[in-house]
Amino acid sequence: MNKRERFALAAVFALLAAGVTLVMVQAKAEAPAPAVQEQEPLNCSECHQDFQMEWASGAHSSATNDPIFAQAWADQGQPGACMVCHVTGYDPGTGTWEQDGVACTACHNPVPTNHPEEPMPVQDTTELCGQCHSDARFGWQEWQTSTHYQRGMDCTVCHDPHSASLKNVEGLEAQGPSGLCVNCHRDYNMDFPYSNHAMAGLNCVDCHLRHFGSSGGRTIHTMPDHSFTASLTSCTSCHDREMHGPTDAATGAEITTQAVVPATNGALAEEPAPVSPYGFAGLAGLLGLAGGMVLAPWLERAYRKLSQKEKSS
Amino acid sequence: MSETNLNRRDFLKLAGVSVAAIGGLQIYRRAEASSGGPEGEHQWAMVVDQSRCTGCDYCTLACRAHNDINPEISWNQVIETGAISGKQVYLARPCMHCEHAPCVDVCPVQASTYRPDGIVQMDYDRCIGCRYCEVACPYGARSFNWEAFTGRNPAVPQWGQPEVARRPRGVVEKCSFCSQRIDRGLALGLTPGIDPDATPACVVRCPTGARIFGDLKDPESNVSQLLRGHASFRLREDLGTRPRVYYLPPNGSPEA
Ligand code: HEC
Ligand code: HEC
Ligand code: HEC
Ligand code: HEC
Ligand code: HEC
Ligand code: HEC
Ligand code: HEC
Ligand code: HEC
Repeated sequence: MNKRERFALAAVFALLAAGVTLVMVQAKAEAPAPAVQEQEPLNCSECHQDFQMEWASGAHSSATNDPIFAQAWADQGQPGACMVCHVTGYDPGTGTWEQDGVACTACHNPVPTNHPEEPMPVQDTTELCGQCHSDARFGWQEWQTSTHYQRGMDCTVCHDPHSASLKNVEGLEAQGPSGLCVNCHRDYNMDFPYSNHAMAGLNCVDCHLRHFGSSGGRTIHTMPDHSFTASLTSCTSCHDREMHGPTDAATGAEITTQAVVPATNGALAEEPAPVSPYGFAGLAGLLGLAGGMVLAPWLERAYRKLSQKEKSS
Repeated sequence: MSETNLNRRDFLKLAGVSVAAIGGLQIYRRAEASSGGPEGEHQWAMVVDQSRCTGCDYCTLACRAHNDINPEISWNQVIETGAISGKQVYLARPCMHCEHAPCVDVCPVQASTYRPDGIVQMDYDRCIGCRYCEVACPYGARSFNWEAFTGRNPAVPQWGQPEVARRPRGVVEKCSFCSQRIDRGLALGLTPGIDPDATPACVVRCPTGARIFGDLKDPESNVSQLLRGHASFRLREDLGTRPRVYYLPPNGSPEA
């Protein structure tokens, strides 16, 4: 047996070991998943896996279990009033609800019995989101003054309702939230990249979606200003010193949002990810390779004996 | 008098013969169908308002998701055509669903046909992938599947839920006016162009209302009213294809 054959044999062993391990480990890794999924009669995730996953990654799925909410809710003595928006199917009479979080049926209802033959209701309207993202919680008045609203655009022009984050447009991801603006307002982006502001790392959102928050961190139920106008106050949040010296009105928007964001991120990443199935498989593969190399001479001898027996018989 | 008549007729004959020679026998075979013109209960048409289009490509993405299209192919391209007084103008180009469609004429196996409602329909089971139609289409609306599309569709779920089967390798595909949505909608008593569930996905997804869809046979439909009240044009009208996609020019200026 030459070296090449020995290697080939070892490789077969390696593959076999890796494959078996991968299958076994994946079966195990998949098991704990259904934590989120004890769900409704018509199980949406059966057919809409992509949507389910997108949803599970976002704030709507965690609207009840989000630790920031849970804390605030507990601090206030668990008032039922909060549940109108923070769960699905809340019944004020009994104080119970159908599902944690803002689930599929909070936005897609009533559910037809013979879906998909009959379409599931899709309310692609500002009013749908406005059921919960309303008034002081959102800045509804500002939104209604915006040209976007007046030109008939709804929230989902910019937001993905499932991941509860901004849509991303292919090729413009690198520009962050402003990629969206640039995609439609190309004319306004002709000279902007060469401005001192762009070179200092500013983008459209920094001036056109001022955060409402007062000093000391983004308070709960406050949103960036959806009038999309840039006003003098947007400038003073960074340029207060260049005009009349520091003022109280000026608070760094960036600093305050950051106070909230890491907390949420930390909460989402709470469970440590188990070692990847591929890691296990790789290890098994190496062991298989070594085993194959060692066993090769014996195997060859056994094979020869066997074939000799066959010939002689 | 009679002499000039004769000459004209001769000329027409000559022209007819040469067209037949170029197009081959297919045109003769299909002459009946292609001159049939409007016949069904509905005649679907699309209006694209260039003064509203911002070139955002949402239509292309929605199309890609709802029709489960390979990202390398586009049934609906949005093309930058230049600027008019400093403002960019875009041309959104779906299939024109021509009344006299060259692609239907040249197809040797009748994989491209007219539906009674005017939609030029592909039968992917019949298509043999000869690509004549792709060459014949003056609008570049057709694409060939060099490979089968496998794996994730990057436009799903953000831009929509796939509604039709993926096409196999080796066939030509194109925009269908989302006939699956129209058919399901009509069966449920909905009105295409008004009820989103019965309207092409690109029209539903357009954030600025630059696309309008409806029935030309209904004089009160949104497309009929728009075309009555506005100057409009179609692409390459000189070819006599009679497209069912109409354009409202940007700010009333002539064809961009
Ligand atoms: C916060 C509201 C909201 C929630 C929660 C929600 N959806 Fe949606 N969904 C929408 C809206 C609005 C649309 C319209 C399309 C768009 O704008 O992306 C939509 C569209 C869809 C579509 C069709 C997309 C298309 O255009 O064809 C599917 C399928 C869907 N949702 C499934 C789900 C499933 C499954 C869940 C639960 C995991 C869910 N949705 C939860 C608001 C919601
Ligand atoms: C048996 C599989 C199945 C289940 C279960 C299912 N859907 Fe669907 N759904 C589909 C299919 C298939 C389509 C595409 C229908 C079409 O347009 O041809 C669809 C389409 C949709 C749409 C787009 C609008 C429409 O009907 O065309 C929405 C929204 C939607 N589903 C939401 C849901 C939600 C929410 C649930 C759970 C309550 C759910 N679906 C459960 C198969 C399913
Ligand atoms: C049933 C009530 C409800 C509806 C309807 C609803 N939302 Fe929400 N949304 C919430 C709640 C509650 C949260 C906060 C979840 C959390 O972080 O705990 C939220 C969070 C969000 C966030 C993320 C906010 C953040 O601070 O990160 C976005 C974006 C969002 N929603 C967009 C939408 C859009 C767009 C729609 C309409 C398609 C919509 N929502 C409809 C209740 C709702
Ligand atoms: C023209 C685009 C656009 C429209 C339309 C729009 N938003 Fe926003 N929205 C944004 C941008 C940009 C942000 C800032 C995100 C950031 O800074 O990361 C934002 C932030 C938010 C947030 C906070 C989430 C976060 O990540 O901080 C919520 C909640 C929200 N929008 C809800 C809505 C609702 C509800 C509507 C409809 C009434 C709506 N938006 C319409 C662009 C838009
Ligand atoms: C889907 C396309 C789209 C997206 C995304 C979008 N816009 Fe717009 N925006 C428009 C349209 C269309 C108008 C109306 C322009 C008009 O009427 O001339 C508009 C108007 C505006 C106006 C007011 C202009 C005026 O004449 O009053 C501002 C400011 C603006 N957008 C900023 C933004 C910012 C900032 C973002 C990113 C968060 C953004 N837009 C995202 C399409 C879009
Ligand atoms: C340094 C702050 C700043 C930045 C960054 C910025 N803008 Fe502006 N923008 C303004 C100001 C100030 C105005 C004029 C006031 C107004 O109308 O809102 C304006 C006007 C506009 C208008 C027209 C509004 C109108 O009423 O006609 C649009 C559209 C717009 N900006 C889009 C963008 C886009 C897209 C970007 C990112 C590429 C961007 N802006 C980045 C400050 C900014
Ligand atoms: C009218 C609907 C509505 C009601 C009622 C409501 N919320 Fe909210 N809440 C929202 C929405 C929408 C968001 C997401 C947007 C935001 O962050 O402002 C949210 C976000 C939050 C957040 C921030 C979560 C995070 O991760 O950033 C907390 C905390 C919270 N709510 C607590 C409460 C408490 C406590 C109550 C009851 C006193 C309550 N809410 C009642 C709609 C509501
Ligand atoms: C998010 C912070 C921020 C906001 C908001 C902001 N700026 Fe600036 N601006 C900067 C920074 C950083 C520089 C420094 C750039 C440099 O020196 O290279 C700058 C520089 C400038 C300059 C001098 C450099 C130049 O571009 O010629 C002017 C003028 C200016 N800003 C005006 C404005 C106006 C007007 C507004 C409001 C519409 C505004 N800025 C909003 C951060 C901001």
